[in-house]
This record gives sequence, structure tokens and C-alpha cells, in this order.
Amino acid sequence: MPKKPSTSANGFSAGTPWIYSDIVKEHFLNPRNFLMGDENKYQCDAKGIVGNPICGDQMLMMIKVDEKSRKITDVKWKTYGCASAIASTSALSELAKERTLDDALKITAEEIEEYLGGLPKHKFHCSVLGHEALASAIANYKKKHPLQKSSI
Amino acid sequence: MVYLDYSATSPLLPEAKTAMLSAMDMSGNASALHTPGHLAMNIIEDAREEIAKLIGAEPEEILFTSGGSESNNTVTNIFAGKNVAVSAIEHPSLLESAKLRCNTTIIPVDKNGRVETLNSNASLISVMLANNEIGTINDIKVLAKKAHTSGALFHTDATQALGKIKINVKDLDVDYMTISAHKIGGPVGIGALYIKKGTPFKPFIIGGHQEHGRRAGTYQTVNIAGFGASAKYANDHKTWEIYNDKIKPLRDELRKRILAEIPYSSSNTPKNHSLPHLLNCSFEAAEGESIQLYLDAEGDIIVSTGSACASGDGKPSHVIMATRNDAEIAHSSVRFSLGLDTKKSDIDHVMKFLPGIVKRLQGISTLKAGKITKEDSYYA
Repeated sequence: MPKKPSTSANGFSAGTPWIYSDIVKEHFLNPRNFLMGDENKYQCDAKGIVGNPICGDQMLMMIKVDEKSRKITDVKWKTYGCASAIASTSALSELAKERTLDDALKITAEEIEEYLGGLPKHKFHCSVLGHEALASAIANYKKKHPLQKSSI
Repeated sequence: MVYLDYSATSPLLPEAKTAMLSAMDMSGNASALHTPGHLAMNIIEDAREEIAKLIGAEPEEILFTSGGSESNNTVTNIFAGKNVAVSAIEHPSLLESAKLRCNTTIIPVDKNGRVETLNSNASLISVMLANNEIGTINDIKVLAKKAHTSGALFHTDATQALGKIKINVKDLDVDYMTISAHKIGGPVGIGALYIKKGTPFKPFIIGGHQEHGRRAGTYQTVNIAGFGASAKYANDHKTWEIYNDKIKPLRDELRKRILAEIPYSSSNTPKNHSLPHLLNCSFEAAEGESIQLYLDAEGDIIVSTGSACASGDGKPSHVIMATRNDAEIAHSSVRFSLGLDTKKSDIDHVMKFLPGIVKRLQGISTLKAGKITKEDSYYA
């Protein structure tokens, strides 16, 4: 529940409810799986970058994959973006872990939004961007590690 | 809470609130000839006098509007279909309405947001007195003179400058000036347009005799009372002197500390020729909206940002694009606007939180900081 507004001496309400859900706020304040600093120090199997800083947001997703099971074993991300971008990328990184590549591809922007308890309408594209970054990382992995053709 | 968003809106002054509450008890339509009507009209005319005094105008040169945006729209509407020239850093209500209605030329600004040269074949030239995003003050007296020499009339949007610096319309010699109440502690929803006596005018809202036929619509007695009280406060306290003596040193300290303590920061607000209470800084590779929300969530610090990641094609601030032409810098900008209540401890509080927030955002950013060097003038 949003905090109840109380009025402070200067007339402004303190503890004003956020426009975002508590889960968004929690992921924004304590993002999961982000990578601090130089991304080259993180040994990933594939990465995908989408968005454009000219438009104000960009996301980088890096994944480690178990080649045999084709499961995502670890996810790290970086972003130049707003609170929604940070929170939705954080949420996506949690959702994608331990899924197979094909399963992870099925994560929709709507699912990220649902996980976060909703996003303001004009911020929905931020979750789409995270979704696209992951899809791009998975596509890059698949290109590098094509499935062996079945011999049947 | 440390509120540093006074340029967005300032808290209602107790004096304005009292005046408004008292006006709320009056039932008369100010246009009516009966006693309650007269009493309401008296409040309006008293307010008009205070507002006129604040900008050195005659009361009959003040036209009440619903705010700065309507005042700006009113001016561009007068020049519909004509050649007008407006600066690149005008408020969208001026810029967009001019583009819609007039044959508009954009006057470029230099890297500090200053207009140096003027187009000469326009009927109207409009340059804002002080910019709302970066605080640049333009030399309106010189520009109005140039405009008049070329045969143009001159409008200036003084919404952000009102009460912050001394303004005198006769000294500036402008033909139209936009002002608004809620930037000086008055209510939202009321503003005014100064129209120099004898200057061409055409009503924007038609269908009523109010304001001598210059604007239709029942008088907003309550809001006008609040506007008048906030203007009286500015006149009585000479707020522009307080801003210069007390607030500008705090702004300068914040600027100095940000540039010294936060790597890859730069100032979008020129050191000279800027409003005393406003500071706009960019923090390379850190996105403005995130900085704004972390300051809010962690430090209870309220600022605004020039970044608008509001849709898939979030456009960077047209002001910072005009001065620095760098979308990343524009998206990484934060505006601090101080008020008469701002104290040194507020600046210390900001500097307790801001450096860590910026560092963290730069650390997780896909962008690399390092474009701005200490030799760059934005770092001065």
C-alpha cells in the first residue's frame, strides 16, 4: 500500500505515494543482477543491446548459458534509462534465470509488467525494451551455438 | 523534504492563501453592477495595481489570463498569418503556438542560451527574459531596441524571471510581457499579459465583454486575489534583492560543489546572465529521470529533469539541444530551483545523496562518461 501522505511544515506532503507500484520501487532501489563497471570483465556467452541514448534509454543484456541444457544460468545487465527501465530489466533478469532459451524468449513485456505489479502506461515501452534486449542476446547465442541437426 | 523545484511551481504564500480565502466568501460576479459585484471588482483592481507595480506598468496595461501558456498563446494569436521570429529556447506554449499560427523563424541561441542577432523582416519578435530550464537571462532591453529598429513589435516571456530579478517594462521597452502567479507563491491557473498602451491587440478568448473586451470569461476573483497578494509580497519584500543576496550564493555553492565533487558533471546554466535561484547540471552517462527518482526516494529531495523518457521516442530537451546539441547530455540533465526558504543545510543534504546516486547510475550505464573535459566552458 502506498504511504499515507502527511503534510509537513512547508505545506508539501511528505511520504507522497509513488506513481510506481511498491514492487517497481523495490526493484528500482535494490536492482537485481546489474553489472557495475566494465562489462568486458564479465565473461558472458552472449549479449544483446537495444535502445538508443538519443531517445533516453538503452539496455544491455548479458547471458551465461549451459550449452547442454540450453538453460540460462546467469544474467547481468546494464542500462542508461529511467526508473521503469531499471526496475523492468531487474525483474526480467530474475524471470529469465534457469529458463531454457526458448522458454526465456516466451517472457512477454506484459509478463514483466505483471511481475512488477503494473507500470504507468507511458512507461510500458521500458519493459518492451528489456524484453527486446534479452531476445537479442538469445538470438546472438543461437547464432554462435546452433542446435545440432537431428540425425533422424 | 528538500524542495528544489520552485521553478515548476512554488508553494502558496500564506498571504496569498488568506487573500483567496477571504475572496471565496464573496459571492458577486465582478462584472455585475450590484454591491457584491463592486466588492469583487475592487479586489480585482487592487490586485491589478500590485501586479502592474511589480513590473513597472500601468494597471490598465495588465490583462488577466489563465496563466503563462494562455498569455503566450494570446500573443501568437495576434500575429496569426504574419512573420514572427522566436528564440529556439522559448517555452513550448510560445514555440508551438507560433509555429501553428504564424510564419515562424527560429532565432538561434549561443551555447549559453543567449540571443545575439535578430531576424529583421518579422512583425513580432519574441525572446524570453529568462529561460525556465537553464535560467539564462537575455538582454531584453538591447533586443527590444533592435526589434523596434527593424520595425517589429517585441514580446518577452517573463514567467520565470518575475520576482527573481527586478523587472521594469518601461525600461526594457517591450510591447508584450507574459507573467504567471504560481512561480511567485500565487495560485496555479492565473497569469497576466502586459500589453503596452496603444499596441495592437486581438482577443484570444472571445464571447464576453470582460477585461474591456480583451478576454471573455467570468473574472476569477479568488485566483486574482491570490495573484495580487503574491505580487504585493514581492513588492513589499523586494524579493529580487533577497534572491540576489541570499539565494544566489547558495546556488553558486551548489554549482561549485557539484562540479568539484561529481565526476563527469557539467553546468547547463551560464555563470553570468542567469536567474539567481536556478541551476541545471548534466551528469554524463546517468539518466536524468533516474537521478530525479533516486533523489526523491532516498533523500526526499525534489528536483526536475530535462529528460523525458515518456514514450518510445522520448525527445531530449529542446533547450539543451539548442545550447549544447547533445542528446545524451540533455537526457542526463537535472534542474535545481531554489526558493526563498532554501537554506545552506538543504545544499549540504543534496550533496550527501547526489554524488553516490550519480556514481551508481554511471556504474550501471551502457554509456561511457568522459566527453566533457575540465577545459570545457560548461565545467567552469
